[in-house]
Amino acid sequence: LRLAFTAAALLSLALFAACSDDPGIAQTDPRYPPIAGLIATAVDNYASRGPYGLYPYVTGEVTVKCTEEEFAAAVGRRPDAAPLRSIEKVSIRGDEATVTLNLITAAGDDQAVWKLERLPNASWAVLEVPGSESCTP
Amino acid sequence: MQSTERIASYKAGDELVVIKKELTQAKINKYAEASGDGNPLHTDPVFAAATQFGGTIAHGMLVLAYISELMTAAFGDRWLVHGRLKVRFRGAARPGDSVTASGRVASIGAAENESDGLRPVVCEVECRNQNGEVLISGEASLRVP
Repeated sequence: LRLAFTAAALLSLALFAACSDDPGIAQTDPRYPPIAGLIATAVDNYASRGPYGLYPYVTGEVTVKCTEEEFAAAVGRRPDAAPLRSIEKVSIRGDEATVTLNLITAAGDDQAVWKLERLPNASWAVLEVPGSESCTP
Repeated sequence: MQSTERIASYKAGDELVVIKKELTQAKINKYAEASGDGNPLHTDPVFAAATQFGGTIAHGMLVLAYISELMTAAFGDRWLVHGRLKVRFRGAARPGDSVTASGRVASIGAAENESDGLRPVVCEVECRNQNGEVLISGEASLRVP
């Protein structure tokens, strides 16, 4: 029994290590370009108009859950919106993508993680950004 | 740089002197290098062809800089020190585009209503491509003596 527990623990550790070492998808992956396109335009508008600029890029699920004002109030508690420095990593699991971004702020580069959702037409929309999870009906 | 007298003479409805820029892939590549934005959407035609844009596009902040240049030409240091932009990115600028940045003084407030004694100025600004399509539109605001 002890051996079984040890094996299970080792397996869990190995799985955790495998997940945390996820290098993300390559830029040559056909799923990457549409995400890069969305991020470029969404971040530009986010940088210029804050959460209000980001709202047109969120999923229908988010718009049902939060009005533009509620979304802005939730996300607005985060550090200032900022232009894109680079896309650090894109990971995809099913219809959800996790994008790690480096944003340029007055205080230096800031890393943020955004979650995207694939839409039926194969385009992507923003599902979650830091702060937005607190926006609930 | 603009003189204080020139800035003081602006009134609502005045058109700002337009800025025209020819956008090239070389300029976009240089901006990518300077900004550190390595998104291949801007620099790799093969990659960009697979995006929703169908080809490379300029960084939004590169095109936005043309509006800042417009405002600097009109208001000099006042813009650099007190300027604020609130814009919407409406379309993508592409290599080969001829981009025109233009603006108009929308309103000038009274200094006596302000605690710092400066007059708030709001300009409507935009960038369009050679086809008249709006790339960026919004407001630029600053405070002047």
